Amino acid sequence: MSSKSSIEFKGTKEGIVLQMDSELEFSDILIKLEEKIAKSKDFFKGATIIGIDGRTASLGEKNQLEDMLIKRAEMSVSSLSMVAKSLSKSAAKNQSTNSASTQKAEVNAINSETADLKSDLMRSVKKNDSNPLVEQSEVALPDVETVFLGLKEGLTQFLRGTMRSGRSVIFKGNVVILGDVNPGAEIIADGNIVVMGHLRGVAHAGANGNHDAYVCANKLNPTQLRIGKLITRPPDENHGADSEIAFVKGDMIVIEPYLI
Amino acid sequence: MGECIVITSGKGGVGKTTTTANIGAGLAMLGKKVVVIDADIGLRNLDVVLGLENRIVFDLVDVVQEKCRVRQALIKDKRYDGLFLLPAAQTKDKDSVNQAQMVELCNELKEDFDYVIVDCPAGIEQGFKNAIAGADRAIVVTTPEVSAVRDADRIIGLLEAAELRNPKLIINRLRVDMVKRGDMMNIEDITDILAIDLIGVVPDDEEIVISTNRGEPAIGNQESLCGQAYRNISRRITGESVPYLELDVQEGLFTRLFKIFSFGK
Repeated sequence: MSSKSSIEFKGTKEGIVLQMDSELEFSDILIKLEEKIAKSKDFFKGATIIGIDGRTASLGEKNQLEDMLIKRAEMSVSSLSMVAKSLSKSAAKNQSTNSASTQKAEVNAINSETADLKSDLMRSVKKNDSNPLVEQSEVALPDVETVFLGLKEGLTQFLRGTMRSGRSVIFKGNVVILGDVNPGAEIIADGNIVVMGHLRGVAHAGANGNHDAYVCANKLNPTQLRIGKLITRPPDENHGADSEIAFVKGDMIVIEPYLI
Repeated sequence: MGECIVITSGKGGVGKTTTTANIGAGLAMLGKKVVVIDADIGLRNLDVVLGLENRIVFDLVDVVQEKCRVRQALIKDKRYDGLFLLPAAQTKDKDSVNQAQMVELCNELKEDFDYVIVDCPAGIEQGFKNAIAGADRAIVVTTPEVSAVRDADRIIGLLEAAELRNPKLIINRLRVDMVKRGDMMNIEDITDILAIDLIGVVPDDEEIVISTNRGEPAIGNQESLCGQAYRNISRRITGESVPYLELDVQEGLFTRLFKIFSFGK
């Protein structure tokens, strides 16, 4: 996808939808958005953003987007939730058929009938991003936010390179990092997290509630380790063992070598 | 056509300005035509470190706002032939310049100079974005402290996002005696986390404080250890096409450092 089309403002009857490329890192999106705003600031001044499309955004990311849209472009923001299918139909046409966006489209298709009724609900609930279980029990959206079950076989994201401080990887599936995860970076996966390198940052496996998920790394030395709803930090002294796996046993996270 | 290099770190107080001044002087000593730009608008001090404070008439913001020509704002350093300073404005703030203007300015200066070195402000906001906008490559300065390394890591990520690949690393203020005792992060600890190429290590040296206060770059002092380190870094910047040599020089420097320190005891 060309860099030009990675960020678009799509006009709809209700207002403007921010269309983002699902393959871009959030930091890149911010940069592109800033460029876009710089180019056509006066054009969008005063317009209202009613939602985003093409890619989900975490609470923190939404705050950053909102900040930029309001402060730099002087736009107003009524919501930064994913827009329902009916709104984004025109935008969806331009979407490439990469796996992430198709999956989102399918999810949208399931919801299309109820979407209009529920969109308001979704907006209010989506603010609770940090606790997906609450979202599920309150709204009971069909098949959208159930616990990720593909731990043995399932959707997996592969990332190559060092995940540096400030980088945030959020994926509704397993995540494999071919490189180090540095302090200040966070990996949040609904499935397992495998780091083919040194894990020094924060890792959250089974983020939407699967306690069978695990985190493993060539060097497991995280700032903090979370599996499902459990949170631990490593012991203060550095044991320095190689190839370790962290998983839930009872109501504790235990760490042991996976190569014996 | 010259090259624009940004000196950045994320964290403040690790020695960006000192490094910029010394590398600028070092490259000038090697016969290059160099301009150092202070991009820290509102908190300028590259002019103080270079001892050129009392000669400022126009500054970067004046140039960008076309109140004067670039030539008029450049201050020639009398001690180093070919070294020029473009000072920052002290009474404005970072928002008085934007990225496009910086790119234009850097491109204009690159036509006349071999090296355009930009002293980046601390932080990751507008000032940082301005400073890196026109750069062709970047040098990240860090000290052997966890907080500085953490910020350097974030900066490297932001540089990569801005298409400034393969930044080089300078480890500043290393104390070999403390490293030996295990009280300070060693070079391997730092390069292990940051995973970028090292271009030099500058030992902690009182000489830096003295020379900074005097407004004379330490690189001019032939006896000082840090002056030697900066001279080596300057050479490595010019000789980038010989990557093996860099590493060799690096090891050479280290063994030398260790020897000097052990003789001193």
